[in-house]
Amino acid sequence: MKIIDIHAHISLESCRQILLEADRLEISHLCNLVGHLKGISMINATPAHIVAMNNQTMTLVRKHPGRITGFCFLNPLHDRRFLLKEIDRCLVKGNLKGIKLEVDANARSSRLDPILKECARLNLPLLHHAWYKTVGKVFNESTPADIAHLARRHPGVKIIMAHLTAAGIRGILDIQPCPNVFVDTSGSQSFSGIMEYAVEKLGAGRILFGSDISGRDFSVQLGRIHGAKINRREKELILGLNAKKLLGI
Amino acid sequence: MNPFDVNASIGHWPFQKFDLTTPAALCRHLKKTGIRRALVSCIDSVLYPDPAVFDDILFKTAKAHPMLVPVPTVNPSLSNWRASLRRDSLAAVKIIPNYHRYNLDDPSVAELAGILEKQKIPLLIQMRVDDERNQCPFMKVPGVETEKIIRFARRFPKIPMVCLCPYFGEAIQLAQKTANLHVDISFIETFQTLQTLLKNIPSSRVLFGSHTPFLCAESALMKLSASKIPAKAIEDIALKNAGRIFKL
Ligand SMILES: [Zn+2]
Repeated sequence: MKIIDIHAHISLESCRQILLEADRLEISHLCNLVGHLKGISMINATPAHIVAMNNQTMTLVRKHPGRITGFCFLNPLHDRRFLLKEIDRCLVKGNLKGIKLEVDANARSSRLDPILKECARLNLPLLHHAWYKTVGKVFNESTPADIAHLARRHPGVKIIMAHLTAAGIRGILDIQPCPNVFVDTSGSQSFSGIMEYAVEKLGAGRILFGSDISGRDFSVQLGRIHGAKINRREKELILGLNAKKLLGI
Repeated sequence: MNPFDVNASIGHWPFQKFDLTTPAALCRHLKKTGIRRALVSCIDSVLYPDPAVFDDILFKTAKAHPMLVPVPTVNPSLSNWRASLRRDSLAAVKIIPNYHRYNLDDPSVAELAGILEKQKIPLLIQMRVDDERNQCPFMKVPGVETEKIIRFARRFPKIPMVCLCPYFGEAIQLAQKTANLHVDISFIETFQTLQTLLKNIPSSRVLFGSHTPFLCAESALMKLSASKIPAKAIEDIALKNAGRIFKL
């Protein structure tokens, strides 16, 4: 069984250690969304920062073919011409396979539309952060309801919503009517019952294993799947088969 | 190694749906996941105004299940809390200061600590039960502050205390700044959790806790079983520390 982690943050610096640990836990493939770069924040990144972060991901994909898939990180608040240029550089000419958006713009913002149009045109998946936060909400941070809004505007784009355990019951219900929205299993703590509820409402075919490494522990994140009261086939879909299909690997 | 779980509960919680609402069901679950024995307290005692009501049921029903060690939840801000201690052979007492809305500096907490010290009963401090970021908007309950716990633990250095559900950074502070505070691993997570944790605090201060049924026990179990820490440290965390502190 090939385990694929759809939600990883790997840098050139942390790569060796993360891949060794992934080997130990039998995770055979990782999708690098964006790796940390010293002194650069993912929030409010400048165009120069974005270029540096995407260069890092492209280098990692080149260095570890078949092991790491990379996504292109963008800030939708940047100038449209820059966004399209970066998509062309990383996803048309470069080796990246999808787009990652975080909290710079809310998913309801029309700023995202040119990016999603490119996703549709190039048949690229988008992974978008989401969380139902009671405290500590970042300005513009998206909720699952915001993701559903985005999904309805762009029904032809496959959207992976991050953080199942942070979306909660309400978040699962938000995206249930949108067949183009998938969800990754990362976020918060390994709360019981949520995986079973997601499988019941969305079907295992819409759930993908994600660890949110490097600030997380692969074993804890795998424990959520192993501990869920779902059948073997459902676990296999979540742990790798869905991601294999979605990423075309 | 089948660990001893210092952080298990039984009952109902309005924001999650639990199947493990009877001692028999909890035992089956713990056995199946590979947990040998557990300190168990009552979830209903978190929100119900008088924790003794549900604790009485727990103590009665747990008798038939030696793998469950019942722990009363004591709320020293109530007038009847002293009665909660009148049970035979208490392995521990649990307090939940944030939900029960009192301060660790309050005189009644000092009185409770005095009794625990005299009777040599260890104290469990439930720091949180869920992730504050995901709480229901009309029930925001911040975790118990580490500085307050540290101050309290220093006032009563003879009482072994185990803090349940601290985060990684909090766990390090709690153990480093005191001699009698211990932490359970249920909420602690970082890259290579236990390896990283033990670079900061000794294994003698860390105990296996799953926070069942709130969390998947498998996550805590894998945190331990898949870690690369020495066998002695695993034994400390899984069994030895709990054996020493709770005399089990
Ligand atoms: Zn992430």
